[in-house]
Amino acid sequence: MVSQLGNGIVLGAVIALTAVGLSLIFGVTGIVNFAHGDLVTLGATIALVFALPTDDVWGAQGLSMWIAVPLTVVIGFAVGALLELILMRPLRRRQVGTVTMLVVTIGLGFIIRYAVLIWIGGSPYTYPVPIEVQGTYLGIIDLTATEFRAVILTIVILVAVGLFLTKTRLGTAMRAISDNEDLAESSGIDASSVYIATWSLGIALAFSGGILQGIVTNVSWTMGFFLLLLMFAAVIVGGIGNPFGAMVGGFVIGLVISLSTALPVISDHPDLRFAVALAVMIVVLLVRPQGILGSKDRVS
Amino acid sequence: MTGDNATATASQERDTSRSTQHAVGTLLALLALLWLFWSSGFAWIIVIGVLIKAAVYAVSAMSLNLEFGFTGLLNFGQVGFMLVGGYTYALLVPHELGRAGSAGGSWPVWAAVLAAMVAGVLLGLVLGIPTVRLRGDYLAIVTIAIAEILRITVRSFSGLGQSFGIIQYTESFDNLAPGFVDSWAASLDVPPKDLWLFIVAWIVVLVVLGAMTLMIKSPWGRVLRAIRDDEDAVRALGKNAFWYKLQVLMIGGAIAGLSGVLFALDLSQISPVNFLPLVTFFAWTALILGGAGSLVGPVVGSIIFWVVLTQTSSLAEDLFPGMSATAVSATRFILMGALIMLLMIFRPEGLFGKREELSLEIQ
Repeated sequence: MVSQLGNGIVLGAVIALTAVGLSLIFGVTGIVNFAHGDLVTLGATIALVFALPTDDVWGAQGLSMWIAVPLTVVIGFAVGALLELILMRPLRRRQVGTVTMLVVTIGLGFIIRYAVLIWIGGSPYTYPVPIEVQGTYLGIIDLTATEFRAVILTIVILVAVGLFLTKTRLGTAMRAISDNEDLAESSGIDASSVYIATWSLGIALAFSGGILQGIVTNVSWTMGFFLLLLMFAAVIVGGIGNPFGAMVGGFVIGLVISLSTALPVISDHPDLRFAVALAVMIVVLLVRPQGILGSKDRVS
Repeated sequence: MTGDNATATASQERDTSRSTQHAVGTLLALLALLWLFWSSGFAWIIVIGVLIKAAVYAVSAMSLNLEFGFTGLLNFGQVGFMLVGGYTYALLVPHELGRAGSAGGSWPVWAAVLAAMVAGVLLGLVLGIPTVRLRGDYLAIVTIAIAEILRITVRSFSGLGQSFGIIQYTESFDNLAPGFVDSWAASLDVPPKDLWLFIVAWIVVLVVLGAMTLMIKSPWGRVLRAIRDDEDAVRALGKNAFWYKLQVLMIGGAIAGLSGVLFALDLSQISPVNFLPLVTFFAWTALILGGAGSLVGPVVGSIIFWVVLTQTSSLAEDLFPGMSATAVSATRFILMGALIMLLMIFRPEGLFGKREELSLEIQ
């Protein structure tokens, strides 16, 4: 069981990183972004295309991961802003309903998923990172050196996002709109620029999570859709609409998935560990629908 | 007086525009059928194959229509209901299971169909209890998650066939075909089992359509539409909206379970890969294309959807020569994604729906 702790923390880091963006976008704009998982795939794919040795575009070596990853994250900020400006804002102006928005994000995710399939094909890829043996960290956690660095980097990013949300003007504005949009706007917050910032940050985080997942496992066209369900689980378990809840929920879900492999039936059928995570989400909805950190008035 | 006249004129105009709308919808459906005959070179085997798929998804879309179109419930895990129905049926009638091909099952067809519908009812109940009291998007998330749980589960257990699935379960159904089917099939040059499934599937479509009409026009159906339009008002009148929604999920589950049986009979081997989220997406596209909240909408939508989906493959190959088969089908799915987005933005009422009756806000 302890040997799975490392895997749980890595998976938890991926889910936390991606779920924060999902939660922020939901809190600020009120949209459940069903395309979030496929945007995770898109980020992983873009970094892959930069880093893979392709003779015709980037030279025989491909770009170094040290360049490919930051470049992809910057593209993530841009993609997020463009989604708001080109798609979401015009829809909001047309005053389409929330169900329409939801179906639109499902359609968008569908388009991205199959576009990635055409782009890189159906088989999984790995990034050009060295294969390493596992070491033991903090006495009980088995991780490779790359995984360890990735987890540390994720925690740094999450702390930075936390500080941004609590200490900066823009971050406070996001939380204010999340709580009460009308009140926030009447106290002088420009909602439209906060929307752009939210999508931008959310998608940059999704891209980062995709790269992280690609480094610790592999890149495939369905990776993100599957993560989406785990992100939902994280957001619901942590408390919907609260970005800090999504962080906590992400690690909880990651640990539940990896530690449940020690349970009797699941040890024989390892795929079922994902079903356990989704079942935990449903139990939380039954018992405490506002989640660990959520507030009750958002629920119904 | 003038006010009354104005109202009368307005309602007359609405009636005219509605009958125009219905005429356009019917015309498009007929054009789709013509296209199907023409592009298949009048080969009945292709026509019947496409129309069987249209019937399967028409039943599935009618179930979504009861849930979303008439009650405002968002079920994005329809494929899970179809999985439960299809697997229940295939496991109960005589079949061969898994790679080892172990034989089993002894139920008669009618009992297995009934059991598949009951399985759908139970799934609706299990899904509904934790979610129906909460905001609408929770139901969307939980349904999508349960569908994946079910797919992972059947893939994991050898008692459910794992990734190989179930085969040889259609025989007991094929054997029910009356004698005239053989002679008809011979004259149309199609396999008798295809023609038999085609006939049964379309009878099921008509029966479900009839049952839906009765349900929606009944006092019970009026309560559903009232819940969709203003749930608080329904509660204020003392109706238990929670229980009504749960009933809708159970009845919708039964219909979806039935569509799962037809789905399985059409495939003749079911395995977890047949139950990807794509199936849910197709059923929703058929519903929105035809018009949520309209009785015939999902049926017409499904016919048009399947004709377009199946008959455009040669078109895609012409447009993008040298593309791999995967890329061609992926391109069509991308266009399908774009279609559902554009429909939802510009014409959410589809061909037959009424925009003022749609519930486009999550409650």
